[in-house]
Amino acid sequence: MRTLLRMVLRGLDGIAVLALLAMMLTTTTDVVLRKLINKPVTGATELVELALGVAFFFAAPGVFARGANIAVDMIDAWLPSWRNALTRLSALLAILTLGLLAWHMWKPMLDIISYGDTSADLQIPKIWFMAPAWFGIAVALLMAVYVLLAGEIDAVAKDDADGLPRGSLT
Amino acid sequence: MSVGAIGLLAVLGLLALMMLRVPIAIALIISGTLGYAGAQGWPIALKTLAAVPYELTGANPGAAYSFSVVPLFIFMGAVASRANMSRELFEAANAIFSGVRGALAAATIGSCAAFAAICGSSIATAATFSKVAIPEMRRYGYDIELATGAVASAGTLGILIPPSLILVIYSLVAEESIAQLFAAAMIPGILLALGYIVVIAILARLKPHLMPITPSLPLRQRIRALSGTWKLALLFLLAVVGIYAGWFSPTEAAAVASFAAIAIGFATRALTWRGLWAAGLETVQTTAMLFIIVIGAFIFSRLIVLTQFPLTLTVWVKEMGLAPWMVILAIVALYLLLGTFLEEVSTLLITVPVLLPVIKGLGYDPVWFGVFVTVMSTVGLISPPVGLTVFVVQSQNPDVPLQKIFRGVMPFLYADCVLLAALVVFPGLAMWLPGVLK
Repeated sequence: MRTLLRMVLRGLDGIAVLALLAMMLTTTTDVVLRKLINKPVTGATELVELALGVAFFFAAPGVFARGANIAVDMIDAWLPSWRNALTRLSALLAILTLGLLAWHMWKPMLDIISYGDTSADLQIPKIWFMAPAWFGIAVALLMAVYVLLAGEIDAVAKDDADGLPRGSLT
Repeated sequence: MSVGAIGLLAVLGLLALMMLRVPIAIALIISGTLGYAGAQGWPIALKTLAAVPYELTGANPGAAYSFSVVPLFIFMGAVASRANMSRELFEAANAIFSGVRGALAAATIGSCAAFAAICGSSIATAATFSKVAIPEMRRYGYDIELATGAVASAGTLGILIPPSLILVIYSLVAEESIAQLFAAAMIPGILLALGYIVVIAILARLKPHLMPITPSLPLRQRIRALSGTWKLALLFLLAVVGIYAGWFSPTEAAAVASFAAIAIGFATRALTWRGLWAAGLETVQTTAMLFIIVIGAFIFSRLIVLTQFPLTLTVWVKEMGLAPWMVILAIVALYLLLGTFLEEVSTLLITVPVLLPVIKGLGYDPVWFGVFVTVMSTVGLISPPVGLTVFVVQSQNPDVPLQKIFRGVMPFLYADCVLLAALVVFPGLAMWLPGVLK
């Protein structure tokens, strides 16, 4: 199970990194072509938005699986014996939240399919922008379920990122 | 129950959940949604909840694009910190200071400040330089408190000297221009770096035993060390100067500079494919951690707007006839309090929607407030008990106890306090440059 989970996370993270590189390359190409030969990439903004959605929502499940969500952990020092119980509580509340999100984000997506909305420049159906978001939330939900059942978060790879400590964004 | 009472309950619920180590994002979503349901009923609350994640996608054109600047700036810093520029910068800074007492500590500050000009993250700056500067200072017999304290403090320059992740996020919350915010932070950032160097000079005079004199470098070696800084200069030109020269938007600047950093890294053989991939992973994971909180903060701040709490607060402050400096003092106290347990970006996302209307009501510029909040964050990053750059330095020097590093940071905190006071008394320190570059 762990091996499978690790493979899934590796795959999702990998796709997210590729999306990040795509964002960078699209924007760079757009700028360079516009400055040099005055021919920007058509729909560059839309491609960047598409890639941003993939980069974020495909990396989100890993945050839940690795217990990398930013939290205030003072209580661990005061009440060390509560540690596992609190981890389960957090997983339970995450399941509740992500479940609610996945449930209620489903209908707007169906609505978009039936309206047949597309983006302005490239005529990309709007569903392609929304689906990665729903998918990421749904997989994050599964990860939170796993953490609740396992009762611990060390279960899944903490081995990937190199050296930087968790718990900070600045 | 009145809407105001619901808002108060939501805030208390948020604090209670956070204290139970519930992830900040989840705590924000739960308390925000419950509050919204209490005020407007479940159907509207759930509809609002479900709409927010889609705001970060192209389903909502424009808004999503403005968020793309965040991962790109993180990526640039992540690549730069793996492209071996830190050692060259440290050697260049040392070439300037070498021969005087405390040269290595001053070089630490100088090189962190230079690196901060291409990296928007304090954690990355501190992590990068604790690998380079601390072993060097230890080798020459520097006091360990001073050595670690200098790196932890200088790391905070990462978010003050543009580009800055904190200012990018502030720009998204406050809907202010990134270019203006970056310009406003430039002079305060340089002043803080100079302030840190002054602290070292004073310590060198008062406690010379903390920092033995290191050998002075010959002129030729100094020049060679200084010439190694061209990469940084080029990246700074693209990432920051390019915005004001009108070449790029901030998103484009971040993308082009990331690309250039990768190209330089590969060309100088400092960056490997493995390193690039690691930088990418770090970037998407940090972005995900950050955007999950952004989703929570969006939901919660919508409830805050609904309760009209910021408006009530603004009116109340006016009616009390409080002097602006008293309000600022209260805000400083609030941030110091929150800083004892809350991480800086989360603090910003939660507080700015409430405080910004009050600040505007008092006649302060939102751009000025962005710089003010960032300086408060630099204080939060190094003050106990939760000082994130201190944690970074400690994790890379496990033999040094945390308390020692916090003690080492103390003298540098004075410089932060002086800067904060100067910023309140002379708002022009922040507001002059954006006016010139407009």
